[in-house]
Amino acid sequence: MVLLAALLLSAAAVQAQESEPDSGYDEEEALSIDRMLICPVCPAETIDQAQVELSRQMRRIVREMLAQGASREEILDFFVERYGPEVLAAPPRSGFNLLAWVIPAAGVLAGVVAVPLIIWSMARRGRPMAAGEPPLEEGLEPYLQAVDRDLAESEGGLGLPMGEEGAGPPEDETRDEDETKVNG
Amino acid sequence: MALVIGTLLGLFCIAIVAYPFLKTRLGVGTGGAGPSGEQAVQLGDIYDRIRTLQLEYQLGQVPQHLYREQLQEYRLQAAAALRRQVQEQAAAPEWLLEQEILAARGGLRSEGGEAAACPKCRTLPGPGLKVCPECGAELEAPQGRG
Amino acid sequence: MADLGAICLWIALALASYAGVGSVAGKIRGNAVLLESSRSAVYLTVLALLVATLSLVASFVNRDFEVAYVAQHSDLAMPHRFTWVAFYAGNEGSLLYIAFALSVMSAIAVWLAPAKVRDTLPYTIGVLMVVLCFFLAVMGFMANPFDKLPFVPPDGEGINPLLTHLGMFFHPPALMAGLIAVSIPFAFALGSHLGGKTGDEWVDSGRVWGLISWALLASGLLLGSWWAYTILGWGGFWFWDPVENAAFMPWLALTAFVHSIMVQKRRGMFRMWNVVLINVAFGLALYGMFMNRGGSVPSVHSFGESALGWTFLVFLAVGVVVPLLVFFWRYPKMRSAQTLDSMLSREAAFLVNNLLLLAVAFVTLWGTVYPLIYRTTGEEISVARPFYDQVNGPLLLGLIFLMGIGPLLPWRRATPASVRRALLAPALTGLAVVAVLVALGMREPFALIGFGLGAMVASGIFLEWRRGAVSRRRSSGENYLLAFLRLISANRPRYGGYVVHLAVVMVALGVIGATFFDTQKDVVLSPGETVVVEDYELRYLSTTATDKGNRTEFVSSVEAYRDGELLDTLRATRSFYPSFNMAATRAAIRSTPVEDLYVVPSENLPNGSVGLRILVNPLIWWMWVAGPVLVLGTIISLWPQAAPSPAAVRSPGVVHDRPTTVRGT
Repeated sequence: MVLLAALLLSAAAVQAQESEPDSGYDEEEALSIDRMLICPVCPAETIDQAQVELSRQMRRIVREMLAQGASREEILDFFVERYGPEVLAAPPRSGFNLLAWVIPAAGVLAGVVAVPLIIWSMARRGRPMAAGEPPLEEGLEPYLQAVDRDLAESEGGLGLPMGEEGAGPPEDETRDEDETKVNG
Repeated sequence: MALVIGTLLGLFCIAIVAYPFLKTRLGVGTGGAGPSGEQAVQLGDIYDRIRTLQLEYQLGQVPQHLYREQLQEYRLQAAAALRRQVQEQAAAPEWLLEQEILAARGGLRSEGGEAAACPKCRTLPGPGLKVCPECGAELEAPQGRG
Repeated sequence: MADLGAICLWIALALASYAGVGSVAGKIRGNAVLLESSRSAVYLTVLALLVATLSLVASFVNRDFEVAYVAQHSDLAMPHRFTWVAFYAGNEGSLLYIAFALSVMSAIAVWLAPAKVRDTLPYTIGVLMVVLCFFLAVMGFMANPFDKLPFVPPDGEGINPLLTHLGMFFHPPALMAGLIAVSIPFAFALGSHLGGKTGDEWVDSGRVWGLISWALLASGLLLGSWWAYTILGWGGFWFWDPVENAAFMPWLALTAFVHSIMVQKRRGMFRMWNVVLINVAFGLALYGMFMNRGGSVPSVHSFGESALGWTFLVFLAVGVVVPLLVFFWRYPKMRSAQTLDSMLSREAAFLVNNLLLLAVAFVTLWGTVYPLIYRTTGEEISVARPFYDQVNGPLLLGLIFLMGIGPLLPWRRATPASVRRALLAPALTGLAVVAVLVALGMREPFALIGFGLGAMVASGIFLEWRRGAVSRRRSSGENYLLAFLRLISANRPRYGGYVVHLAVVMVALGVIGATFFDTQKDVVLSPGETVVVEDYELRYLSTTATDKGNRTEFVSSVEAYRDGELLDTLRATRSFYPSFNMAATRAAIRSTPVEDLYVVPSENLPNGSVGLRILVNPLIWWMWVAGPVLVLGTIISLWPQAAPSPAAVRSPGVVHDRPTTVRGT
């Protein structure tokens, strides 16, 4: 209960401070700056999330500076000076920290280059196989008949018996013509 | 109390684990790997592919000439798989022996060396079973010959 | 009861060691009896761990504070239903949960193993039991949940108030079970390679268990987001926080895996790639568990800090290096049975999808690891949301784009004309949606692209459903609904996948809506005061404080009006826990498909006024609804389907008569 009383008192003190600053600033901009700053005392939370005293003060400072006409960079620099570079939620794009941004980009780029190459080389190897029809082997005929009988009896793609032909017709027959044009 | 239950539980575990060693005398062989389809595509998988191909054809994703071409290819693959399966079945002496032993023990004299084998792993279950004891697949009721 | 639990742990360890060693030895020496006995031992670990689990539960229920774990994570005031949560509130208990889940899943996997993998099953059992032994040994020697205090304290320390939430009943168990379930497909792959089967034998088991683990992780992640949304009191749901990332990365790798495994199933391709993927997923899952148990990166979710870190790190190294060695050992034997027919095919689309998923995973891993690298320079750096949003955002949009194209491509080969025809309607729908949104005044490029792509994916799926149902109806004469349901039932993996895709679109909808169009306002109101947020008018009534024993609960009532009409009276809660010196909030949320009105108290002042954070989060409702849809899709796609009956094998007419003729020729 003592603790509770202390908490309420401190909260009252906060409230005294936290009268809304003059709204000579853009709240959208303030929020987006909030989201770029890590609260120094809570693990991995940005100040717009954190509900501790320090982050409240930081939010207030952001708004005050904005109202005084400070730019986003100036505000961020101010906090970096005060709390060190780890206050930034994303590493700055300069110096050693450029690495943080370059490595993912390089990795993704490498993949973007590699995958089409892989697909292309696999597709090239594949061509001759698909082109020629495998010849009917000696003695395979009875098995082929058994397979056809099987297929006729079993369910097809639509969950209906396939019937003797193996498949029903597609929705419209007209499309066959333009297929042959494209491939011819 | 806890110690007693714990000891009992431990003994129970030991008994279960040791049981296979004791029952070996009874001559129940544990089925080795059946005829293995090393690197070979199973017939069922090919049928599955045909089915998908057909669906894609009916949905208009595959044009007719590709459909015909691929269906033909799959049919030949299926026929080859079927032949391989049938030949393997005929040429697996261990498997046949096992089936015969099992059949004899089950009092199931197969007529003409043939009995309703499990459709999945092809062991011969005892009579009157609905589920294959080896792989758990559902067994069909013995069909009339024809 | 705690003694019995401790005894059972050791019994389980003995059984697991025996099962692992026995089955591998039995296989190598061809001893079938040893194999059978080891398999029984696998089943028995479930029994032993079940008893251990029950005895820890009993200790909680009996308030047995002599057990250190019970004393640390519960107290007399804790209602019995939170026993389930307290069970895994700390390291020791969650290790026991993980071990129990692993033993149950191993037993089921071994029990149901199809004939194809029977030959290499002993190695699979060996791998699974090594993993299980690790967890059991860690518990036995380093973090025993049954350790006793030298005295019996009168009351426990109590459960962490953040954990007393409905989401906590499901989020951690789903996530932990999902992480450990990755071991099963991994063990099937590794086992079959150890046994020299480098073909497609393990694919079916790998796919089923991969999907199970994928769905568990996905629901765990969604539930975790929901929990964060309702309880952490800032209105967001995803931090890109190291622990979240640790669960997100294996999920990404598994997503890639469940797609590319289909290529191997259908076409016998991507054999090496699938093995690599499942190894990566397993490594990332181990990393995820390592992050939870005493990882070195600070996080809101890392409730346990322990000296186990190094042990896990060593096991992580083993879990990554050993499969890699096996992979290179078997490398020469792994050759794909088929080659790619065309660059314009579903296989190729899956390859690109794999690339993007792994890119997201890579970026996420890099973001998690970079601060550790930077620390070696002697300074600290943070990598948080802005980094991930900027780098992963475009990649995730690319994935949604692929989701719109991939399902419309056939296997093997498509012609440009057929692709154009299939994509035309969805693409036009997407563009139409973008046009309408622009006309309505939306200017956010990312959001526009996102909504457009979502519309494209959804319309593509619905159009294909319609085409299939119409096609089937024409042949069968059934009504549309029946035709559609039968169509689904005839092609479960495909249509289950579509349902999951719809769920992903719903999640994307929620994420985009809440990220780009949320409104946030922090206010302090005295009773009777009103505030206007968007088109809502909120009137703060009063706060009541109640003493609940372990906490003081402040319930603030707020009336929400729109257009002068009372919509709802919201009751947001903030509880102060003196023993933890912390406050836990429970947001009051008025949730509709259009938008959420979210009110959470941030402070209670002595004069009766209250600090409120008010948010309007558009579309976030869809994200939570996506969870059940996603699970439903997974179930459809996993539901066993009778193999397309190879009647030739069954019917005596073909198989049993044919051999004689064949042998004759």
